[in-house]
Formats: sequence, C-alpha cells, structure tokens
Amino acid sequence: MASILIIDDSPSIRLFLANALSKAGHEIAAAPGGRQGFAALRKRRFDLVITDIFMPESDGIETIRNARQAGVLPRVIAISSKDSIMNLLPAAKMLGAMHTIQKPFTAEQLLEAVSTVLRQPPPALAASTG
Amino acid sequence: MKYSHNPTETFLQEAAELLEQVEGNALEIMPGMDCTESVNRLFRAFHTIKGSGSMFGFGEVAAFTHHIETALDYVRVGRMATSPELVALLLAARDHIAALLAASQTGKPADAEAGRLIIEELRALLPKEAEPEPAQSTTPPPPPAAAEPATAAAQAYRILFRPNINLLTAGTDPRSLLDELRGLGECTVVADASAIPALSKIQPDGCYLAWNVSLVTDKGESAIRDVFMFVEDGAELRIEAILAAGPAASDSAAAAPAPALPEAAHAPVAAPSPQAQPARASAKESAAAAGNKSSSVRVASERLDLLVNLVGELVMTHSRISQVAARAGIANLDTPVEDLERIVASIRDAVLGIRMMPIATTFSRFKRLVHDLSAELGKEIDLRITGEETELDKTVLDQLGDPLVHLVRNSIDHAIESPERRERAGKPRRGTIHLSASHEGSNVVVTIQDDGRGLDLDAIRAKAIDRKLIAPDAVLSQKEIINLIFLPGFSTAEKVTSVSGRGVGMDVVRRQVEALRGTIQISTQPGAGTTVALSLPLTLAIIEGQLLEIGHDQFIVPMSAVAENVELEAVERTSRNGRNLVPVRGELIPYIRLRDLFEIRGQAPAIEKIVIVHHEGHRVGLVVDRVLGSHQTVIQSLGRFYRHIEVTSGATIMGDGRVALILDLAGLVRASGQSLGHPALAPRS
Repeated sequence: MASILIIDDSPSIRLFLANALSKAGHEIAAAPGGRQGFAALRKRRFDLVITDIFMPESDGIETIRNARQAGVLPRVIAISSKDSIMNLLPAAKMLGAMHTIQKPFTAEQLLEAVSTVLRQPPPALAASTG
Repeated sequence: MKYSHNPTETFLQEAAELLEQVEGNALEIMPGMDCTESVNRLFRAFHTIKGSGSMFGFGEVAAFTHHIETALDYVRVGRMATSPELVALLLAARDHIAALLAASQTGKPADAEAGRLIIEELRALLPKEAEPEPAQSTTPPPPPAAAEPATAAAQAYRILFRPNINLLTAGTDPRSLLDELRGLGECTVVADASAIPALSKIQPDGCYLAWNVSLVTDKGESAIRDVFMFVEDGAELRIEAILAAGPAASDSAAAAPAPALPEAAHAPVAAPSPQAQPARASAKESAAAAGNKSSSVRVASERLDLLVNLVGELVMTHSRISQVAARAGIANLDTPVEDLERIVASIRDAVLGIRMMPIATTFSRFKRLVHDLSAELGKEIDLRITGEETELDKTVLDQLGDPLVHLVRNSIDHAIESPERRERAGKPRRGTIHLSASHEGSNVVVTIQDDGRGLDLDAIRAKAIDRKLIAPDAVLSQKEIINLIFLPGFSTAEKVTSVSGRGVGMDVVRRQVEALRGTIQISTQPGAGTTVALSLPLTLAIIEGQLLEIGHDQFIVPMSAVAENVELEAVERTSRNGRNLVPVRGELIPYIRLRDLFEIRGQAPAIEKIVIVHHEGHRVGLVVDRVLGSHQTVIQSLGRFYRHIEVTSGATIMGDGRVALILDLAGLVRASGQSLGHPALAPRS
C-alpha cells in the first residue's frame, strides 16, 4: 500500500484511477490540475504521482519540473493519449518520469505499472535542484 | 441524483460540458480576428474527449475526434487558416460526437454517414499536401511550426541535428549554431536528450544532446546547410522542407516534439534557451478560461434546492423561537436567540450565494442560435455579449432561457433586415444583437438590443384595431402602443417562418417573465432598433417585502415595487366611473381594495393605508388596514395545486405560525379588472 497523488484535469480519468488504485489498497489523493497537484506535493510526501501530461494551465511537464525544483518530486508515472499530436511523454521521461502510460489503458495495465515503479527507489529528491 | 461514482457516467457528463465549451469557442472564431485562444481551447476539449473516450469504451468517438484534433492542430500551428466552413464543420462535429455519445446510451446507432461526411469535408479544408494520417498511426506528426503562418515566400523546415559526440571538445558551442538558425527566421528549438547514457557510462565532455528545430524562413535550404558547414562531420543532419515534402514523418521517436528544458543541470551541456512551447504557451493563454473551474466542486442542483428549502425552514423556525422566547420573558434566552438569528442569516446568505451562477452559460447558448438562424434566413448578424459575469439564482436562470430565446429569435427574424435592405438604409450590412446583463439595485436587468428596423407603431396599431383589441379612435401614447404587443393573440409576424410565429406570442414571454417576478419593457426607435429590457430579481428564494395587514390576515408586497405609502381617509375615496381613484399630489391613482379582493370580513379602520406600487410604469395603490414594515422572508411555493391562483406568487410562514401571502402585482391588477398593464383598454382619465 502506497500513498499516491493523481493529477488529471479530466474528472472521469481521475475517478477511474482512484477507483482502480484504491481497490488495490492504495491511499489516494487527487488534484484537478498541475497547480493544485504541486501544492499537494509541497504539503506532504507521496510515494508516487500519476499525472496527465496535457492539461490546461499548469501541465504535467511543468508540474514535474516545479516539484523537482522544490525538491519534492516522488516517483512519477506520466499519462498521455495514444496518437497524440502533442506527444510529450519523452519529455516527461527526460524530466524524471519513471514510467509512461498511453491512453487507453486498463486497470490491470495501470496496476502493473504502479507496482513496477513502486519497486524502484524514489528519485533522490534534492539531487537536481537548479 | 448524486454525483456518479462510475467513471463512464462521469465521462458522459464531462463530455457534455466539453461539447458545450466547443460550441462557445467555435463561435468565437471570427474571420480576421486573432482566435488563438479559442483554437487552443477547442483543441484541448477535443483532445480530452478523445483521450478519455478511448479509456471508457467510446472507441468510435475517439477515432472520429482524432480527425478533428488533427485538423485543429494544423490551425494551431498556423498551417491552416480559420474559416466559416471550419466553424460550421466543428459545430457539426460537436453535434456528431454528441450523437455518438447519446447512441451509446440509447443503443440506437448514430448516423455513421454523417460522421464520414464531416471528416471528408474537413479533409478537403486541410492544406493539399497535409492529409491527416489515419487514427491508428503511431507516427508523430510534424512538430508545431512557428506560431505565425508562414508568409508566401517563406518555407517551413524541419531540422534534426545530432552533433558528433566530440562537438564540445572540438571547440564549438552548439548554442551559437542555434542562434544562427534563429537569425534565419521564426524558429522553435527542442532539445532531445534521449541519447544521454546512464551516469556510469557518461563521458563528461561528450555532447549527447540532439536538437529538433522547426524553422520558417525565406532564405532557402542552402542557408540552413551553411550554418552547419563546419560541424557536419560525424554528425547527423537532416533538413526537410515540411510543406513541400509533406508531414510524412520518417524520424524515429526522437522527433517527437519535446519541450525545451528550461533548466539543464542534468544534461551534459547547456541546453539552448527555450523557445516558447506551443503547449505551454497555450496553457497559459487559456488559464483565464479554465483556471477557476478546477477548484470547484460539482453538486447536483437538487441537493442545493433541498438545502435552500431547509434553510427556509430554519429561518421560519428561528422566528418562531424568538417569538416564543419573547413571550416567555426569560431574559437569559435573549442572547442565544440573537446569536442564532445572526448565524441563521449568515447561513441563508451563504446558501443562496451557492445557487448564484453567472449568466454566461445562458448567454452562450445564443451564439449558436444566432449563427444558425441568421444563416438560415440569409442575414448577417453579430452577437455581442456583455455583463456575462452577472450572477443570478440558478432557478431564475433556468427559467430565463425560454423567454430569452423567443426575444432573440424575434430580433433575428423580424428586427434585423436583410443585408441588402440594410445597405439601402445606409446601415452596415451586418446587423448586431447585443445581449447584456447588469445589476440595478436588487434586480438584474437583462437587455436584448438590436439595430434593426425598430417596431412599426402604425402597423401595431392597425393590427390591434383589426383584431378588435382597441377602439379605432383610441388615443395612445407610444409606450401604450408598444405594450399592445403583449396582449394575448397579438402577433406582428407578417408571415409564419420557421424561426418564429409558432403561436407563441409576446404575451407568453411576458407571463414567463412575470412568473420570475420580473418586468419587461420595450423601447424602440423606428429604423434604428429595439431594446427589450427584462428586470429580474436576483433570487426567487428570498424576498425583501413590505408586510401589510388587513383584518387578521397578513400579506407581503415586494419592496422593490413599493414607491410610497399614503393614508386614505374615508372622505377622500372617490369612485369615478366605477373606478377607484385617489388623488396623490395632484395625480389620480387607481387603487385596489385588497379587503374587497380577498373578501376579508370586518370593518375597515377609519383611516386606511394605501401602498403605492409601480407596475409597468404605472402607479397603482393597494388599500390595506396597516403597514407593518419591511420583512425579509423565504418564499415557499404554494404547490402545484394552487398554481392557477395568479394574485399570489407564493407564501411565507410568519413567526407566530400564520401564513402570509406574497402578492403578485401583475396578477392582482389583472384579477381586479383594472387592466393597468394594457392602458389602451382602460379609459384614460
């Protein structure tokens, strides 16, 4: 069981993620956007962040970067759409996302990715400030 | 009724909201105007529909939406201009997606042919070389080029530069190369760090970065090659002319547009300073639009209604308690009862505040209406909207839609002339309908203003005479003639069109507005336009009223209508021509004896009070026994059973448990047969 923060602007995706993850016994917090997600990250420590990449206002890339700069970046799984014109998953990986998932995905695929990532150590938080 | 816990249902709600945004944003696209933000918002909405749709089994929706997303991306990056055709297709696409989603609910298949046609027409709009790839393709399309469309002579290039790993030790600063490229034209640089090895294998002075560059320049390919002249050795350099060669992306995944990294501490060399990324920039641009939404909680309106009702009960229970406390004469009770009053008042205001919603959603429906109807009628009409942030109670908003639709349709159909006719009249070809909302005291005034032909007063008069609504020799002011159109059975439509003239007349509009405790006023200037102003209460749940008493019965009249209170002595009562009239400062004012109207028994006091109220620009007196003062109260509906009673708009329970009726002025005037709203019917005194 891990504490997981979900950041996605789409309520249905948030719900889907929260349902699947809480059924698997994880403790879930959700934020509807990057700004709120970053605020949550500053408040408490999470084992894992699952964030959408393409969001209005503060997108996933910016959120990961902010969290990294603030030294509060936990493990990250980035989500994006398949065939998206805005394929930002490579960028997310570059910034420290440990895993990326493309929509559509199933609950099983999600849980598999989550357990893979949770087996890995969290990134060294203060390593790359600046 | 509660918010669904099923992601699929949530998606359907979400999609409905997104589609509503799509409509609004599509209609904001105007030729010759900067509509970057609208396009970005459209792109994002379709993107979410596609992504979430694919998650919850709406594969058909996702596949269809992919084409729309692709087309919008061409617009976003400046490779395709917006056009009325595109707007029409986006709206059609929106409708088709709605149909596909509805089909999943009803089980009836949507019209697949319609979807195919939309995609085909959309494809025809795309730049010739830029056929959209099929939805299943995993090939990333070209990275967004410069945000501004290329000029005629300019050519867009896609450049991949993966330098020799020894670039830095050879003494070249890659940033200078990129700066040179920027000097050639509009340029977007994206660093590709995918080749950076694990730390243990890294060569400290190696250059592992590659760069994807989108460049729009009129200098030609050789100018680009010149930049890399001295570093081509051992490097990978690919230069593609995008528009000429088409978007067939042959590059590896490395070509995916990754955003430039603002901080490069983890990269072996300093990455080039980032260009504004389309994704990031657009995110910021639309922040204003999407910003507030994310911090809100959605609640079914039934729950709010329940809360409002409970607060109503609370308010009434409180006033009962305070009366009981006063009668019991226990001094210790005073302070807690006063505290309770303060808290109850705060709760009431807070709860009513929750139901307040900006009128923007109601207004935005009209963009589509105006767009579609003006096209159908061959008219050119712009819709201008102001004051859309004005807030009204949701219940008022919900019931405001119908009358507004009717009024706007009237303006489109009857008021705004055809472009040719407007030109002949020396007016701009395009007509304008202006919807606005603003606060005026405790009311909100919604106006529908057009610059059309104005009301034809002579025609109205003639029609009223024809319909035997007025006597042929009646002397009427302009205002009175205008008010004739509110009479039941009056319609100014010369012919029945699909737009209006379906038997719903202005009388229905007026009734709908009055049901909201609102008033309606029309002013017109022949040839120059018409303005319809609806004055509406902020909320239906609460009323600031004046408490009146006749015998032992109490009544409440809306404070906003009260002009003054005067005394009526028995000797002053005059009945002229069977009408009750009282002189107030030289003006004869008709009055209604509520004691007679409600058939209240008992003797009236020697000196009665007259409450003078405004009703549709006229002054009317209401004769009562006593005026008890102002009273703010929560309105309770009398229920469906008493719906037909038009003299009251509801009731409230007083502190002592008595019921006070809330008077409906329009209904009162009608019921008392004074026809003050239709002065033409009443003999002028």
